[in-house]
Amino acid sequence: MNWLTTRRHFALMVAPALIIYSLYMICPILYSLYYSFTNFDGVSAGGFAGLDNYRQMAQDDAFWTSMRNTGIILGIALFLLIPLGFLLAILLSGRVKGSGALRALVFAPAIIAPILVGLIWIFILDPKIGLVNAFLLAIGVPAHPQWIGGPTLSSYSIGFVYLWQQIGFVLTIFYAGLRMLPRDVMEASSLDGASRWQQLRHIQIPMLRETFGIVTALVVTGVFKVFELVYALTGGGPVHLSEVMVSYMYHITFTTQQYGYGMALAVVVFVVGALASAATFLDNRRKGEVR
Amino acid sequence: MTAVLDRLATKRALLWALLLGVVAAYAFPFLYLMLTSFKTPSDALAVPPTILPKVWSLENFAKALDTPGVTAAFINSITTAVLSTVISLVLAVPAAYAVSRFGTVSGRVFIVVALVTRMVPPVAIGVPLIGMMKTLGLTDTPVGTAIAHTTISLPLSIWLMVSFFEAVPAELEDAAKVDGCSRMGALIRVVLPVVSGGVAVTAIFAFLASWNEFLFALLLTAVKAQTVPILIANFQTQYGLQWGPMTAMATLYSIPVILLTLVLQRRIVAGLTLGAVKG
Repeated sequence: MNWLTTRRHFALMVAPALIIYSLYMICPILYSLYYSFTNFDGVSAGGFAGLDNYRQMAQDDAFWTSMRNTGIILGIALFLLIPLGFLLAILLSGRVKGSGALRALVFAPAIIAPILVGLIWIFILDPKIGLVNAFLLAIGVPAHPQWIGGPTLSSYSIGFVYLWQQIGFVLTIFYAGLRMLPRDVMEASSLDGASRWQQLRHIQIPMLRETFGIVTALVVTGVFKVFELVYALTGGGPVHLSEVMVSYMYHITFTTQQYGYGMALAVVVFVVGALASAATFLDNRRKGEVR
Repeated sequence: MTAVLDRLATKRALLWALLLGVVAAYAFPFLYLMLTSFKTPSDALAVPPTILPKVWSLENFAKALDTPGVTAAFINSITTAVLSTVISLVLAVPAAYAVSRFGTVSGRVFIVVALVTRMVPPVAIGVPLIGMMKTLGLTDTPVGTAIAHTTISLPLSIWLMVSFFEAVPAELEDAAKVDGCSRMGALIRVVLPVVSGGVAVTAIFAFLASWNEFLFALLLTAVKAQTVPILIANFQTQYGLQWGPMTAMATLYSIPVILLTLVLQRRIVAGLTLGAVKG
């Protein structure tokens, strides 16, 4: 085929997507990166501030709280969401009647608007009108924990809601991975007398290493984007105690209008998120080499 | 022998019970939202709450639909999502085809860049995006919001479409070319019909991304182009604590999406796993 026509075709077909994406995504990102070195407030142009915004961050308690809270959600995602999602995928991969319908049902929260997911859980978790505390009262537990809106439990609750929202998605990917494993390996191993647990431990989990890597990367990226759940469930309060990194960034940027500082936070969220993804990716690769 | 069979049956029944329990617990929060939407507005806020409505009532729905701007918001949500889906597909299909067929380095780089930028939280591009939309006169219009939503759905759409195109053997186009089709002709007449299922999956994902999106809609719309998620969030603040009508709105907004997934479950799951597993 003629080289020139191929090149021209390629350019013509990719160009529209590339232009729109650069214009509305790449350019804004570069702008934001620049703003992070200024004290732009949205009205006056704002002068160049060097690393001032980043220095301010180091002394900002609310920022560190938001980091810690994001860490809590990340912990719940890594140590509960992924293992539970895998376990459910294993359970549903057995030839159980109606498992297709069950999978569809479990998948549903992943396609409801995240803001509505937050709303749904207000009716469960709210200390006054929520069902959990009503249940505790009904069985005679006098305590009245502030699952959301209190100073300590909110982030754990948000992490739990995130688990509820994402587990169908995680399960679906694991399920697809399990289905792609060659059947004969499993059959041969059970002929050789391997127990179910041994098959899981020595065949399925090692062979799904790549799937685990993908799921982990997706989950980690997702955690650093959690916003609507916090917006709906606690609004970041009280006094920023339940803020996650993105919701705090939203507050600084759009409520207090410190654009420069807000964008510095954005840069840090991106870098921390990217580092976390890279770390899980490398960890997964290292484990692969050990085996 | 019967003992073994019995044990197997018991095991299976136990597994069933376990799964059913998990799923029931799982579906409950959403079910409870729907039940609450059928309570009377004051019962929705009762302390302590009851699971079933004391009186089944449609008052919350009536109140919700009576709120100013509800119809407009539903129309906006549909318009924005359809526009964004169309823009995504028009941009993504040729780009993905080029990347999968001409497979040049720049195409791969584009994909990787798109994946990395997915890690940028949308809040981060809010400020420059608002500025640009103002300059273009697109703030508070469905077009502006749809373009913003396209930044989210475009990388995913290209990603999915590349996987679908790669599954089509190149011989198919070679044959079309021998028969006198141009490259473009081959794409439109031969390849696109083969991947039409993939295009449908990609469209569903682009649609859902826009339908459910909250932040850009919050930043870029004021009154005229407001979408339903923003309206629902406003129930919490603007109209005081209108919890009951809010549950009715939430039910109305999520039911179509849930029905859609139940009907198209196989396709959605296929698209999702293709996008994720092939990555």
